[in-house]
Amino acid sequence: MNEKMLLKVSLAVAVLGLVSLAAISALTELEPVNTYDIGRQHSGRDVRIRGTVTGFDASDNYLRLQVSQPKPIDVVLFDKANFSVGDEVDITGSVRVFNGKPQIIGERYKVEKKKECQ
Amino acid sequence: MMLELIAAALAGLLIGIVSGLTPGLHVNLAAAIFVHATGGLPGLVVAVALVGMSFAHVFLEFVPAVFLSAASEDTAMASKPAAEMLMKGLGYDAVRLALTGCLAGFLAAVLLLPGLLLMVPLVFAVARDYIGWVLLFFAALMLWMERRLFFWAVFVFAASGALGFVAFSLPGLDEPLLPMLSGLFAVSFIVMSLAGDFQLPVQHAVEIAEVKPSALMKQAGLAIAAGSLISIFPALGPAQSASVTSSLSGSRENKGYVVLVGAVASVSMFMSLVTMYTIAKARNGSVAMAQDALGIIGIGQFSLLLAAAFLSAGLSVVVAVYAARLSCRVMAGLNYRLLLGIVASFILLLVFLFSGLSGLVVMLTGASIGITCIVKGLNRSLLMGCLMAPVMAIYL
Repeated sequence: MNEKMLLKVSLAVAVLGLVSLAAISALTELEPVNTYDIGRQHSGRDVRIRGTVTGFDASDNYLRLQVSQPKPIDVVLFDKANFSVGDEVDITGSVRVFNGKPQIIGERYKVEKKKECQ
Repeated sequence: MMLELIAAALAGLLIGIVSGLTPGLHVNLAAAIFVHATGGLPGLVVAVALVGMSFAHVFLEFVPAVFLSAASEDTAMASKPAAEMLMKGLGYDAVRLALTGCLAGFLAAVLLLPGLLLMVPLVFAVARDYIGWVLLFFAALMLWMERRLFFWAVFVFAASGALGFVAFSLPGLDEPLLPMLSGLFAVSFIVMSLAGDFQLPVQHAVEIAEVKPSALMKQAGLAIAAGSLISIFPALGPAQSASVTSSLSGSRENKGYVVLVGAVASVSMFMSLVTMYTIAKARNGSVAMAQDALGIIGIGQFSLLLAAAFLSAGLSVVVAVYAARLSCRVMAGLNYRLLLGIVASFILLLVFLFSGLSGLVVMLTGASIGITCIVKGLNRSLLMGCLMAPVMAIYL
């Protein structure tokens, strides 16, 4: 393979890689895990959980949710989102340890079912 | 997340380019430094960057291996034919051949991926109880291939093995692979190059050697066979696999061998991804770190890592080609012996910084074993006894 062909094939491989990376990252979702399985040893890893909002605390810069499955875990979202206790949520983020306890820094979330107002 | 992952792959590629072009710097060490420095990043981002880094390193390390005689255990088998081409002013062509092999091996592995994903767990399930015996067989095969100088072959293999035992058990020795492999491969070759009385001829960025498509496919096929062995059996590296498969195929001719070594290097990295996904055993340190960062690896994460590998492999070849061309121009004005001396000093400094005084002792011991291997004209795959012997002791 001469240099010209080598460079052409390489660039084609690189473009294919870039397009694939973009496409797959847009389509890929993690499998949801149980909050019982999330511990300090998972710090830095990406996780996805599904659970019920059992508490939240909003500040100017972030929103802290307590999501229960039933074991509760704290989720921090740097987003001004609207949650209610009882909402069923699907959250993807990375695990961090804060004050010795694992919590999730949420990157993507969706509210699967809003608690019906009574 | 898309932008973060693309940025991670490109960042990994950049770091891999630098580490690959840096003589004596092993990809595992670069990966360890990277992981340490990026403690707060999401696992998937770190893993994508590590894969990008790993493939870039594999492709780029052929440039210093050819032009600076700074061979690693992955490129060592190409040292002799590559040095011969360098002495004829064809250093660029040697790099081009190695890169052709790298790319061909990578693409062949991708094409065979479905079969590999099925085959690896099946073969591992059967072979796992016999790993020690298989390694012993390979060791015996390597010694038999050097039967004309049997005593020296046994001496080099045993000495390398003893060095491996010592290096992995020496208290207070950090990063034992760095001084051991640098000494056995890079420093020994540099010392021999310095000891020789030669002037580096002018390097021409021309394409002399031709590799026919059929020959390229043959080398890629051999690389898949060699890479599959590496994936199943720990401590079996590209050096031994390339040596054994090429001997069994009768292919020891210079340019074909350089292509084969390139192909085996990229296939072995690719197979490390495959084994990480199928049997949760990454046979390469940097990929093992990616595995630690990810935790559970689903098909989605594996696909992302493959995509990062594609991106890195493709761009790395382009960078390596231009790095080789630049090396030809730069070498013309340099005192080659002085340059080799600087490279050796740099490796010494790296070893001292990461492994301390005991690392220097291990490195110098490894260098003397490597020099013995070169002086006696033995196959440098025997030096991999440093990894094979300790692993055989575990499994037997």
